[in-house]
Amino acid sequence: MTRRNGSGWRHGRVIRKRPIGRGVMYGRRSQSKAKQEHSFAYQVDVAIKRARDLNVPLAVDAALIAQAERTGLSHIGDLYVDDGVSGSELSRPGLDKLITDLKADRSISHVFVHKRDRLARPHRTSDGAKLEEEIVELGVTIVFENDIIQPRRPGEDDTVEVVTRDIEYSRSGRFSYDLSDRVLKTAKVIAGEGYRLGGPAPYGFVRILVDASGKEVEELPPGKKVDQPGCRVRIKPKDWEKIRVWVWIIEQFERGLGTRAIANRLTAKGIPTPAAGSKRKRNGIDVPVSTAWHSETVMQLLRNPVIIGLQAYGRQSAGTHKRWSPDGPRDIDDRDVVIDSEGHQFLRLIYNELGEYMTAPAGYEPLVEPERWHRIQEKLANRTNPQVRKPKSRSLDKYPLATRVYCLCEGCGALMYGHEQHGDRKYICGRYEDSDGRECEHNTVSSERLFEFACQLVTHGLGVGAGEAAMRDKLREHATRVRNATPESHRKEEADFWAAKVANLVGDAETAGRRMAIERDDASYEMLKREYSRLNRDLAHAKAELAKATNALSAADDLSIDEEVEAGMRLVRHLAAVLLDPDNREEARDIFRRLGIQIGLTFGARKFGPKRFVRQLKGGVVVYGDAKLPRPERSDSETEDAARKPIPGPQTVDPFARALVAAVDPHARKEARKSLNRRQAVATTSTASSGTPGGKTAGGLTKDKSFGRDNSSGRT
Amino acid sequence: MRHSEPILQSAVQSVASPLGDRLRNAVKLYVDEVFDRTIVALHALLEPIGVDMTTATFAPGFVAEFAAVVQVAAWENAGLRDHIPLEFPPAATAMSDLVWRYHVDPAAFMDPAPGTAVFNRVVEAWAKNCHPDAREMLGVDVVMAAPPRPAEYAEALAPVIVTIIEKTSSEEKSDDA
Repeated sequence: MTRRNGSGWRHGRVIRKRPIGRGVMYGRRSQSKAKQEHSFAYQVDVAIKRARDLNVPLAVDAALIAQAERTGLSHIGDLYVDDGVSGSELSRPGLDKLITDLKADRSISHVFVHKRDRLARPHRTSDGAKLEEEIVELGVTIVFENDIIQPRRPGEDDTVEVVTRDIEYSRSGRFSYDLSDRVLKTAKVIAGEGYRLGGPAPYGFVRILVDASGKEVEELPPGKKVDQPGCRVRIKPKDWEKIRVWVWIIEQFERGLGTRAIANRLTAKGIPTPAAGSKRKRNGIDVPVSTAWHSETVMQLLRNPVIIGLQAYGRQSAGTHKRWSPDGPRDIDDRDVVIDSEGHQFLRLIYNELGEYMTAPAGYEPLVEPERWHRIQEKLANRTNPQVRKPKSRSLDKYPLATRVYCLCEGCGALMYGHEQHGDRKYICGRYEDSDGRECEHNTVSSERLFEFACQLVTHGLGVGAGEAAMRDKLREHATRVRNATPESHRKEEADFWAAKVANLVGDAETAGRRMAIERDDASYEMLKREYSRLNRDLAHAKAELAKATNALSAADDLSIDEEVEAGMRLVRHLAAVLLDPDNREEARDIFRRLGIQIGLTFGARKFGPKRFVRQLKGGVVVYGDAKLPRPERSDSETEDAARKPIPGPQTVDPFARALVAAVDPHARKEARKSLNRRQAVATTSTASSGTPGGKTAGGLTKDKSFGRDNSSGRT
Repeated sequence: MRHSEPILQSAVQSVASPLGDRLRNAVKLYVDEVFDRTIVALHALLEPIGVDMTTATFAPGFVAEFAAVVQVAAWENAGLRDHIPLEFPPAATAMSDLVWRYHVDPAAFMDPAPGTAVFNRVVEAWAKNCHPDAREMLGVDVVMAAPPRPAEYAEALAPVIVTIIEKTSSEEKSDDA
């Protein structure tokens, strides 16, 4: 079978090598530092030399690389670069552009790469091999400093090449893990001596460069980087005004103020925030950071041990190969991984608790008594979740479905709270809110849309119009069944039983009261008091039951079955009218309550932009009356474990699963409408019968590659 | 008209004909959406191996059965599969099996009837168990504990209505007293 797929000619597994056209160069360095073993200048020199040896035109020079460094572009002319990108990232701007151009431009015959570790430092050896094969299968030759990889002829032995490739990718991939391990171990030693390993100075502090004897060499201004042999960075308090603010925050918290209240007071006093004067990017534009204090900033200051003269290390774990743990570098495990709905796995930042990170004396006297600081940490750890800002439906009309909507995500089953955000009313997972985001996810659904749906649901179900007759019949049938199941004699018996019970309890309570009045022994008095309380509770319950039984008896006397059915139909029409009126929310809420409607919703993760994930509605279940939603049972002891579990999601294990995952994405339809014409894809019988519909077995092709045809070859 | 395509027409007619106008329209919209998703699934499956989807053609029986698998996958993904009574293998298994059968004997899929029958089963399951307006209003399927046909609704709601009537009547008596 011969097939053209836009990426080269194939004859079974044979790939035609592109004739010499022109070469391009791919370069990568993991850090934007000039002093590196594989600096761009060195990589360019090697590429130019190799191109000259092979007699391949390569329009790359030192000026071009300097321009790329200066502009930060990943593609200029015949140069493709990824600057400051780890080799473990298999999708990089420069590399992606290179592969796109290789597919589109058949004049490119050679790609010059310094070494395999510039191409990739993959987590799995096979990933590096796949990347290399993807390029070679286009008919392109890859030229390394010490090797040339090109499409092979049938029968040509490539054992040595494959083994060499796998060993090199294995080593280059392993390098990142070993490096990460070494960095973490070294950092632990340095941090153990109280030196600072990176980041800006804390609020009110400055960074200082100290020599091996601990003597201050210079004060480092913000942003300045130093790499001076024998010297390390420490911090010291400098701005005493800011330190006084920090201590004031601690005092206020000790007095019982919450972090938000403290933040508000700081803002009201006009005290500049720690980030005051700096800028942040918003939609690519530099904007000054807010001048208002945030409760999270206050929280960070309360938790920072720098104030008691301790330098901390390992408060956050964010590595991609190894991560900090008190026992030494650890491998990435489940708690570090989050999976989106497409099955892609991503690493997340972990905040380590006090005791899980290390501290060492920072070289200055504590600014607050350590005992006080530790008491604060204890208070922070033990305090209940603040209810301030927790969504509460103060106006029930705003959330007519309040207490009726549940989050049915795996392991959750929590009630969803009404919550107004930026003018939008939503229901949000209560477990997520109550745990400050530690458990479940940010699952929300529009309150208005859900309300409209619920109204539609009930109106539809009430059988207004065509369904009225059916509803009438069913009401009659059910009312008759109820009457027969509970005959009047039974109701009377029940009423008599509760009347007798009330009379007995009244007598007993009176007796107990009299005895209490004359009792002199304290122990006996206490016993009588308890008994008196119990009798009164039983009496209240019996009276309520008696009232219910008496009312039921009188209601049955008053309403015949026909009357009951008519009343039911009136109620049905009334319910429908109420629900069709968008302003009548109070009654709508009452109807939902009476019908016992419960709505369970499932949610999933969706990638939104390059890094962000959002939660989105996936489906729902509705029950009426006494029926129960399939809410997962969850005990408190499971809470912590569940919080550590990665978000469940389908794993993309094969092309079939990947295709299904793509199809169930709610945005899939939009994409389909944009990019595809279904008329062409769905064949009419006549079109399909005019040619083979694909699926013809092809020698050497795997089954997932052998069906489907491309008309562009003119053979289908 | 998007519904003019033979497979969709067949599915809509066989499933929607006993239903009221409103439900019939809902089924049409539903089938339309499922086929859009089917195209996405085919796209995701075939484009990585170099098949140009803008010009590729498929046997009608294959597309219909593929659409059924895609819908079942959507239910599985949404955690609703257990609530929808339908004898159907897990979507991944069904898809693997379907692709293999298409690979081995593509001519068998030239007849749209078997594939459409499979698809119709799925559409019927949807019509019986899911609220017809949920897709339009919330963008997802919502499974109804009570089936959506009027008689069955009435069956489910009658006890609630009767209870309300009895309670209201009792409360009124109590207030009067």
